[in-house]
Amino acid sequence: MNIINTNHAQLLAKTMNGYSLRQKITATNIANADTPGYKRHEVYFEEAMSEAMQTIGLNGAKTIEPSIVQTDQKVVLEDELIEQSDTQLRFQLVTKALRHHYSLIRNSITGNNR
Amino acid sequence: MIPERLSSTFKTAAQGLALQRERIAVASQNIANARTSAAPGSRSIYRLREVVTQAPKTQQFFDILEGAKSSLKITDTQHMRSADGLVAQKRGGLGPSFEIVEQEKFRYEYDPNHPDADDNGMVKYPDIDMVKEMAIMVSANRLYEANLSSIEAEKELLKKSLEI
Repeated sequence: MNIINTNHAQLLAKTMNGYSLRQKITATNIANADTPGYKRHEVYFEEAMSEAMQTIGLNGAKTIEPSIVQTDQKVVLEDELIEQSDTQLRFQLVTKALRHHYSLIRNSITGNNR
Repeated sequence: MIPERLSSTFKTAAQGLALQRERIAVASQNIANARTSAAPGSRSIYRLREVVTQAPKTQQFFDILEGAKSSLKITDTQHMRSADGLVAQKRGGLGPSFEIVEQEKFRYEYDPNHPDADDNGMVKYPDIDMVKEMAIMVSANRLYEANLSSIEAEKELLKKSLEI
């Protein structure tokens, strides 16, 4: 039985990967806000993940790779910064879930001394 | 464009930010062109620009309500039934929409030696009220800050909810 590297933890790690890529792309968008001809890039993975989750299941969701898509919109600085803080909060949420997961395991290892 | 997944407060505030930024841009265009004259009969004269705002449509509120409803579980047949369970509905912000309108208002000054003067010696300028433009800039600045505070407040809320 896989206790430490469970499907759950792997899925959360996958999500964190997606969010950190999105953060990178947002930073790229901000850096290129004034570059002539630059179009806003976006990262997609949530929809694909939930779709794979519904059709194939957890194993399908784990294979999803985030995709970077170029849109036809110009960069709006405010929107990028809002997106950045949104990604930050989502990352914190996932980190918290993962921490919770590991603290449960830790508790079950060291829990008999209370 | 702000993506669908963001909280509706963020989307609303982003629309507010976009509007105030546009108001500042339009005010500065007006100020920059306050003394731009044009030859009589010329079509390329600068016209006073104004940002006209529009309240969000009531339909958007119903959309948000529908969207919120669809995430609820129906445990009783008498509960409100939404169209398609977990399918996320399109949820826009509740911020204003705007468009830029050009006003056909002009001001004439007597200056017969000006190259753009007409037969009566009058030069045509756009009717730009500097005091009004400055007031718009100050108000847009403050409202921009206010929208930023609402984003900050929402962020604080979400952060606090992570501490549960």
